[in-house]
Amino acid sequence: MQHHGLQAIFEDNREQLLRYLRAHGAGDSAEDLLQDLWLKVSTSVQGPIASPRSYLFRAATNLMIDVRRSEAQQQRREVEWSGLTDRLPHSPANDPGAEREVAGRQALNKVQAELQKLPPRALSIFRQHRIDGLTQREIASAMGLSASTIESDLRIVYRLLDELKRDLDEE
Amino acid sequence: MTQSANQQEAALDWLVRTNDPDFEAWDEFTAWLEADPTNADAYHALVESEERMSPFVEAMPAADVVAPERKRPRLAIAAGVAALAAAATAIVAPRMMAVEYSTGPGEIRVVSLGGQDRLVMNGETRLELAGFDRRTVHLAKGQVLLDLKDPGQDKIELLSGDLRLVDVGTVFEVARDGQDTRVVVSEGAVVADPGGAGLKLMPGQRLDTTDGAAVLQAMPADISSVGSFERGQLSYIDEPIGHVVADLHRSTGIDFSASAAISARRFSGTLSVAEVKRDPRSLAPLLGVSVEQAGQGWKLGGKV
Repeated sequence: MQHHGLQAIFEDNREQLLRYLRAHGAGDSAEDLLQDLWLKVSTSVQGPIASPRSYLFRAATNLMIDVRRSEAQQQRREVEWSGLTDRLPHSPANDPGAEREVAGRQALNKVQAELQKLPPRALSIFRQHRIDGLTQREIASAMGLSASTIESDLRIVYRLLDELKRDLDEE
Repeated sequence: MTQSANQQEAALDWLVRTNDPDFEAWDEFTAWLEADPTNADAYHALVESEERMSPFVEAMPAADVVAPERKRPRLAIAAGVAALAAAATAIVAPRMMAVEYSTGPGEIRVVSLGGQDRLVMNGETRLELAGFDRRTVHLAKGQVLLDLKDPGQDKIELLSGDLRLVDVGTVFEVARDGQDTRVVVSEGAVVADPGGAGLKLMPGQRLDTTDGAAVLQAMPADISSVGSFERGQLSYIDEPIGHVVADLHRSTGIDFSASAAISARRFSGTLSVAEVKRDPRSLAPLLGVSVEQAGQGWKLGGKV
């Protein structure tokens, strides 16, 4: 029964979802990707969904993020991302070798030093939002802050993460 | 790979919005992506950055993350010196016979506060006068000019959200839109958050803040803009277009709207309320935006 409801909403929004996929650069694959989207959604949905339309668009966004990621990985040489991430505590890291060890350690120190400079409130909001999955409205009311304050704090963190990632890409 | 700064800012806005589980405006987002094929590239570059870098945020020791206090005392930053806030004092405002005043769009109303003191309300404004002598103004929304020159009268206290202002014999203007408050002083002085930050605003200074803000910071302002709505003119120096849109709506009663990206852009200049009322399109060359009719209202848009 739930699938029938979701399928109806999927069919109603077929054109908009296609447009959305194309807007993300799906190109000629848009129709195929829409089929993939429905397969994923229909096999993964278990219970009722609060906002089915948003759910479909969210799934479409994640699909396009996956598509673009795998395209990018095919095109460019692998940067040392995995090696860097593996140096985090509790990561099941492989032995990266002495030279890479030093360079990776320096990069990690720099990233951590920059992250420490973030305003504590912005960092806390980011963690609650992106790691704990609270909505911006929930955080705003829990912390007694306005929606615009939450937004501007999140911008600060996203902006820094983008700058750090670009810096690392250049190295 | 050079993406314009504006595109980067717009992409950041969209990332903030779309990452919220409550986000619903998918059609608006589609329209932005379609407006320029490179917009999707800018958006996905940010998505990738967050995805790559957030493991480092997760890995940060928990001790580095300070649990925010529910209500922090505010800091005043005046003349480049940050002064620690004094402990908040309890405010006991007797609310006797509170009277409510409101104005419709485009309406201007003058309220006497006793003696020569007067309060001028711009359109779309709602407030309540409370206290023993009704010298406490609760500004719910909109914009007011306070012209307080009567030496025989007590101080006026104005509350806008969680911001408290006390006059020191003065002319000043306060606007409240949503949870944002703007204060501009043209004569005398106003003390903001007297129980906490105690930031003194002098003529030619302004304060832009939002409910819950931890820091109050004074900035230079254009004195001639104070109360200009009463004269049918709106003057700005480097003002976010979002504020200009709110003012225009109040003064003309016309429903103007602008996207987040346009709202963040800044405007300097003077607008005539009568002219905008006569032809909303006249804003286009002044603000450097496109002005298009959207239902009952007008939408400011254009290249981001």
